[in-house]
Amino acid sequence: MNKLGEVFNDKKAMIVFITCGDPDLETTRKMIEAVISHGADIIILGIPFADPTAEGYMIQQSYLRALKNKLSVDQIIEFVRKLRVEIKIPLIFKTYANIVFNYGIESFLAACKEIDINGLILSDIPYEEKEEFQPLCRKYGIDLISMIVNAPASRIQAIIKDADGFVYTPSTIDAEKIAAMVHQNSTLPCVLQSDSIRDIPQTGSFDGIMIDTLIIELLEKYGSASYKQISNLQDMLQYLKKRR
Amino acid sequence: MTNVNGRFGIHGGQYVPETLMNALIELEKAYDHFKNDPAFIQELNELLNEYAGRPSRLYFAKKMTQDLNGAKVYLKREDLNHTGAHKINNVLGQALLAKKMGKSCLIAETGAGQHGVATATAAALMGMKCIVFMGEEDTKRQALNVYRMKLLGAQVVPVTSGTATLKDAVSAAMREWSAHLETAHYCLGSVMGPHPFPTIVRDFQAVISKEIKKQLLEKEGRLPDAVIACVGGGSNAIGSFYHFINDKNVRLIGCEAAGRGIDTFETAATLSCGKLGIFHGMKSYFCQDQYGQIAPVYSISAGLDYPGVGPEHAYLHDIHRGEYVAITDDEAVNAFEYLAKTEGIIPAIESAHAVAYALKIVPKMSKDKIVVVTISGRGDKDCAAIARYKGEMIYE
Repeated sequence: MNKLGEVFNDKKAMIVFITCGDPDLETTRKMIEAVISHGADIIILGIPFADPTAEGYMIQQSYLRALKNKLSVDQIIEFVRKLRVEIKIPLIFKTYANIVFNYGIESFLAACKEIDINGLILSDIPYEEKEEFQPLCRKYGIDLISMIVNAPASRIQAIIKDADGFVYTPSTIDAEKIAAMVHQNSTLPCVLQSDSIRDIPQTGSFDGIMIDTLIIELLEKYGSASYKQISNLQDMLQYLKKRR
Repeated sequence: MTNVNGRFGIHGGQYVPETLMNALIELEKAYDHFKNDPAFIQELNELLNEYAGRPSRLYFAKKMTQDLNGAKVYLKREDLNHTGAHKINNVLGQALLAKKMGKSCLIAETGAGQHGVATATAAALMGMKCIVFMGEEDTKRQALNVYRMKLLGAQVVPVTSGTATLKDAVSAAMREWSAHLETAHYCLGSVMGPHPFPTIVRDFQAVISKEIKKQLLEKEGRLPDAVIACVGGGSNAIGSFYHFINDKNVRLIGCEAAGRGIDTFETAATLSCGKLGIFHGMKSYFCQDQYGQIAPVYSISAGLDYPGVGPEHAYLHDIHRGEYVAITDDEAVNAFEYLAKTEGIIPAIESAHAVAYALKIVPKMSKDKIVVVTISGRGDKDCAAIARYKGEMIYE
């Protein structure tokens, strides 16, 4: 059963990114529980990479805070294993190719399957390089999630054709057009990646929203107490209330 | 030596965010067109000859040869180019390409500042805007080069994230490029990063080996027995090797920076200490920890202070066509002083790594052998740092 796809059946999804181990794994656990209790549908767990070239300064700082404690992939896998006793919603790992490559692609994916990780986002793997990862992801039942940006139609269609789980597109002037193309050419949900929730039409063309830095901003400001601040994210809560 | 997606054996590729792919595809198309365009080739050759001062000399180092009492030593004098290093060869090519593509801004990363200065120079010449990213640590160590870039009209952005050195400057430059793809070209300084950069930069630097071959045939009527060059990312080395790759009797020797030694953590010798990985758009060898985090690296030479190596070098290493050796700070400083005193040539501390290996092997070679050492840059920029290394507290 494709757990990620199910989420989009009856509502627009709220997908929340949280860095594992910023500032420690106990805070990550509390933060996951807090965002779920407020209605998050999918959690993206960032496995820290010290040189995240695809991300901005804020996420890099978050990764560096997490790495202060020499956090390893094995520790994160054990953390999720324990988490899975309580947490049943879909979980996605997001990281960089070198973390997975260094661990061993197949060993990593086998471990993901064992702890019921449902998807994987590799920020530095574009369409051209996914052959090394996607067949193994499929073998272990893990959706390799693709990003789509404005590009020639032939490229967008090629990405859609091979995509698993859902696709996401950053919030740019082309986002609506990209969502329309996804829906015309597939049954895949198309998620908008944006932190400016206020600007998103509730009945728009997207099947959900992926927020990257809202939680990271809290972690930066409040550290281990940040999970208490979720109720102050009014825009996020408004979105959750109105989304159906 | 390139196939689909710019692979060199298993190395290379395009490991970048989807947001950069359009720009890489556009760049590859433009390059494939212009590299065969006679007008482009002529314009670039004019710039290289009239502006940069090519061809650079292949100088017979008579005193060094006598002193070492072994193979004949020739020095390929890239230090005599305008801006004082081989970097200008690549920068003029890329700047001209960017101009033809309709870009108005050049973005660059720089370590010691040589590539930043070369890019700022080309931008000034061609009337383009220029933004150079430089680790904050390096802006302090190389304050004079920061001033040079500003004098040439460039904006210099100190990078404070991560280790605040060359690796972080590359990451910052990639991010800046992602945000300004329409107007900006990323003028990458070495044979690294995602395809098509390793191929483009190699082609623009290959002029070095093309000239060596011609010049040595004129002087000696034969090919060299060995070509020695220093390797950070590896652009002057691949430039020095390229036209000899199919000449199997020519040894191709790349000298990496061992820093305080390859058995210490303070090293940048990627092919000696690194393992296979994926970073900055390419698969290659990288200095990294057991968890796959890119390791901080160290060398006295800011130009060799990079945790990876270009994918074509990784491939030449795999197939044993290239020999890669590690040279320590002490050996490089010794060679820096040696060349100054013996030949009256102050090499860049990067190039001194190549000289250091020549000092090791030339005396063991017979007198009928010929070795070419590429002096990739001039050493004026390094004098204060070397003086401090030797205990003299001189500042620029």
